[in-house]
Amino acid sequence: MNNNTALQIFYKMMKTRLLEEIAVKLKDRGLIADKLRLSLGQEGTAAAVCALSVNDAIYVSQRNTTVLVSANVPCADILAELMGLPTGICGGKGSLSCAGYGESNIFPASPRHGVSFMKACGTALSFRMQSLKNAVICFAGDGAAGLGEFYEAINFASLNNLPMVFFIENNAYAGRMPFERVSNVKEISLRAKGFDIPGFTVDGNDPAAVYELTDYALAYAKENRGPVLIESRTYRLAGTTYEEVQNYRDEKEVIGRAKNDPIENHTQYMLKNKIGTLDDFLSMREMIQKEIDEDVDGALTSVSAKVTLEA
Amino acid sequence: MSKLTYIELLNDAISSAMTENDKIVVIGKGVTTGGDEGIAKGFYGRFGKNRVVDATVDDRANIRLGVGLAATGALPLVLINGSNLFDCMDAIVNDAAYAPFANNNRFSSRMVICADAGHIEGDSPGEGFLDEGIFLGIEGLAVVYPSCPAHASYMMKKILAAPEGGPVLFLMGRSLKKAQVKGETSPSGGSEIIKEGEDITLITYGPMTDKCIEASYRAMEAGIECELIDLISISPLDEQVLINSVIKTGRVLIAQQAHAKGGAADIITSMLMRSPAFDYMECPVKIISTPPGPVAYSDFTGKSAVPGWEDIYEAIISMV
Repeated sequence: MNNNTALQIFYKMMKTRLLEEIAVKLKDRGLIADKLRLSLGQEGTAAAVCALSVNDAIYVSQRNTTVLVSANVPCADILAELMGLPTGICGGKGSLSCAGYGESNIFPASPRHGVSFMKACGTALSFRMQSLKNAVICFAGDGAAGLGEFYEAINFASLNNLPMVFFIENNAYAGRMPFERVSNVKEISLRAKGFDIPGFTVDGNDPAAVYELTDYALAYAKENRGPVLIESRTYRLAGTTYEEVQNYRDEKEVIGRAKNDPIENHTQYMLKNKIGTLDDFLSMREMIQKEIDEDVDGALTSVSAKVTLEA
Repeated sequence: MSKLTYIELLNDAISSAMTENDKIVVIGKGVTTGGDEGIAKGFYGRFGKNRVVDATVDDRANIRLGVGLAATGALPLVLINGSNLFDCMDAIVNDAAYAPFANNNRFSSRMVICADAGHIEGDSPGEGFLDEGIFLGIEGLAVVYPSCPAHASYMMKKILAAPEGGPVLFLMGRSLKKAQVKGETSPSGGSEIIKEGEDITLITYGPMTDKCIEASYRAMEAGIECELIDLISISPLDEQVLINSVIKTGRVLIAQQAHAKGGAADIITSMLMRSPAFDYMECPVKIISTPPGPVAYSDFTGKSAVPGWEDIYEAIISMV
């Protein structure tokens, strides 16, 4: 990865985190209609993937703020959707869990688990029909990877050599269900063997590693060699939704896992490779914070939001 | 040359549409080898593997495959395995019909979903489908249920040639699929007035239409003139045609090969009650339908599942 890409990944991760920080503040003030499925702690994966997938189609899971921000969906429109305003990316109708944004090649998502796998196959098939060279990346969680349709889709994609990357963000919990209690294999990527396709597991909180692997997978898929399954191991620091009572896991576990932070990891990577100094990154953070503040103002310019604020 | 059957005519309609429009993709179980009863016969050789896709035996998944194609501007035609519609509800309702609302119309989910409906001897409970009513309240989903080969072909051509639209559920009567083309029909919009009359409005659709034709001609011999309306499109309804007819006749009989509760007849009755036709009604609405609950598979024990023309005739006589 070159220096620009490394900085871009840092920028996207930081922007997602700061956007979500603001979203939480607004939620506490009653200004957010969305349930807030926060990407907190999982920013590394999408930021790295989206640095490569500029012209490729993306299907997102419900936990998708990080993908949307990384795929250059305007933050003001993301915020507006979180607030349920007509200016939001789904017109304030669908919430982020239904996010679709053609300008960034984000195809429509669904609040229901695992329904995007076959849709992604359909889109890949359409690309093939049109002789397009683009790939399709389908993000989903570890819970969705336990659904039958996941296997149907991988079978279909492998049979038809579709240019796809099945990207499973294994954040250790599907709702309140721990992954380790519902899978016989420790790594989801092992399931690729049954379909004779490549499967890899990567530390999702190590953006440089995710980048290298995605680069390989996209090239593989675009050479018409078929789909690739990637399992990105990460950890959901936030609840399933913002208001969820997290009585299913120990706080110590969360604090422990928070130490493997993708932004911190990437900062160390950039320092080690002399891409910048800590001061550089701090001033970048300040700049991003300013941008986010402007995006908040942008989202709040809507009339109905002003009314809510005054009330 | 023998007359074409329902399936042969539909095969022809789809095939010509695919020749005209290279965005049409046929998806389903076994479509590369001709599809159920030969509905996709010849497609694979003519249009190739990208446009004729044997996907999975999971119809829900096949519909979602179609949704992913439709989002890119393709026009998928998904052939459901028999009447497997309960299993498909989530995909039809949430992924096809409601998705454009949720994503603020950024993406189209225009597609045609073909499935069998109704009951024939040999259908075990759960194999046929007598509950199309559950789809009629779904905003954004059109439901057609043609009564004969000519209507089926006409509607399929019309749907596939339309410049835009949303998802359409195309129901094929299980008892109609071997039916042959007969007589002249001339549907114009979503319905056809098969026979005009002054005494009673007889509303029907799908496989009950033939029985209503029989009953209405028998009634004519008894001096009663039925106005027989074949709906063809059961959602949306050709409301004005129904209202105008009831204002003229003052009596309504609805016949359907489906369960009564929550069915099309209930919805039509409710619509008429809330319309200006209400003031012209001379007697309560009557509905001829399938008895509640699952249907036994043999004609010996399950005959009542499919009301006959006699049931309709008796109802007509009792109302006028």
